[in-house]
Amino acid sequence: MKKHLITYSLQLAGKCKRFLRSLRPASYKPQAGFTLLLAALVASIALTLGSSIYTIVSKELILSSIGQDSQFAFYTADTAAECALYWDTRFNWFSTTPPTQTATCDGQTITLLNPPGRANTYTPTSTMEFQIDLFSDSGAGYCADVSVEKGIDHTANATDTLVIANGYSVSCTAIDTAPDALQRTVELQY
Amino acid sequence: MRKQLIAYSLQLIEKYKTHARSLQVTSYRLQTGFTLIETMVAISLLMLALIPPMSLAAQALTTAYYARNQVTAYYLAQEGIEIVRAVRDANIIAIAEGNSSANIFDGIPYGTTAATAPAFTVDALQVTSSALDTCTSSGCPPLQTNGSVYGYAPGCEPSGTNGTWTTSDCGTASGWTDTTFTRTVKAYLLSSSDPDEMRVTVSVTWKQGSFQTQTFTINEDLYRWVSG
Repeated sequence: MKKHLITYSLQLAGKCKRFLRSLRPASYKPQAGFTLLLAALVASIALTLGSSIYTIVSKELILSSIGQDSQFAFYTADTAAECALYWDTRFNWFSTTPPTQTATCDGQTITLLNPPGRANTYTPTSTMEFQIDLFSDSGAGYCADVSVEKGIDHTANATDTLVIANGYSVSCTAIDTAPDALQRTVELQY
Repeated sequence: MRKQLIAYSLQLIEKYKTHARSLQVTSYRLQTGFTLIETMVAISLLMLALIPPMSLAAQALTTAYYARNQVTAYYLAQEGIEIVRAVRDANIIAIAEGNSSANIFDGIPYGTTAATAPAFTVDALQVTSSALDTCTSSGCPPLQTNGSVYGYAPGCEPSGTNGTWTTSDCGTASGWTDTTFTRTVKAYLLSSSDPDEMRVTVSVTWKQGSFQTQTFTINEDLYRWVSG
């Protein structure tokens, strides 16, 4: 009887030990909501980084587009200035005497805005002005606004010419309305 | 002895019982990990929080590359115009110096109409008319770089004035490697009846990403403002 009791006691002790061991989870930690805070932190950092990179890059893109438009405007101004130079040096088109030729630039006839229709009131110191859309064979073209000013240099007894060519990145009709019209200017003096 | 052992055993049982009772936390629940639904909700929330900023950053990177290439392309196009212009201006100087046989458009391989205008390349490293070489029907070779300037590997370009390219790619030679940019220049008279006005068109084409091809084109009209 005593023997049985001892065996039973030992069995019970072993059982108790196993039960106690099973009650103790190895990785039990209290959940206090820290993970949610960490997740919010990581998400906000990622969002801030992403949006700030995007802001910088969109500015880069605007800058490169402005650079591109600037090229169009510059070469429009340059072409217009060369055109005025050509008609002045080769045909004396901007003289006080109305020329016989019809001046064309890029296949378009030049019509002076100032003086209108080359009126007789024109004097050598007047500024002649014309406006054309260059490179319009594909698209609306780019506006060029050219003024040619003739003056007399009394000391050298020669004619001074000042050509100011404004080139735009949009067509002449769109200058006033386009939100992103760009202007470049080329000036020739001789 | 046996009596003692029994008493000890009973004491031991009592001890364990007490200990076990003390360990039983009333609000204790068994943590056996997350359920599938919990995991999926957590993953989807994490994705919602991380994917938009990540894709924003990725898109920004692609756009940054595009902006960089666009800036490079318009400077290359500008260089192309300026080289042709420099050839024209060198002729003006030759005429001004009394070279009666010089023509203002000498050295520029131009066509009388846009359709017949030959495509040619220019090279900033040798701004003479010999650097203006016409391309084959398969197109102009891609621009190369040696790490500091754009051009073509030395010895690759055809020799002589307005030579014709025999290769469509200069390959890798003495530190020069291909770039993604190809610059094609065309020059033609705006009107075949008017030999005084010449249109110069420079197109810079580059590969954006794996499939997209971008082109930037600028035009300039050159005039024969000095007779000759």
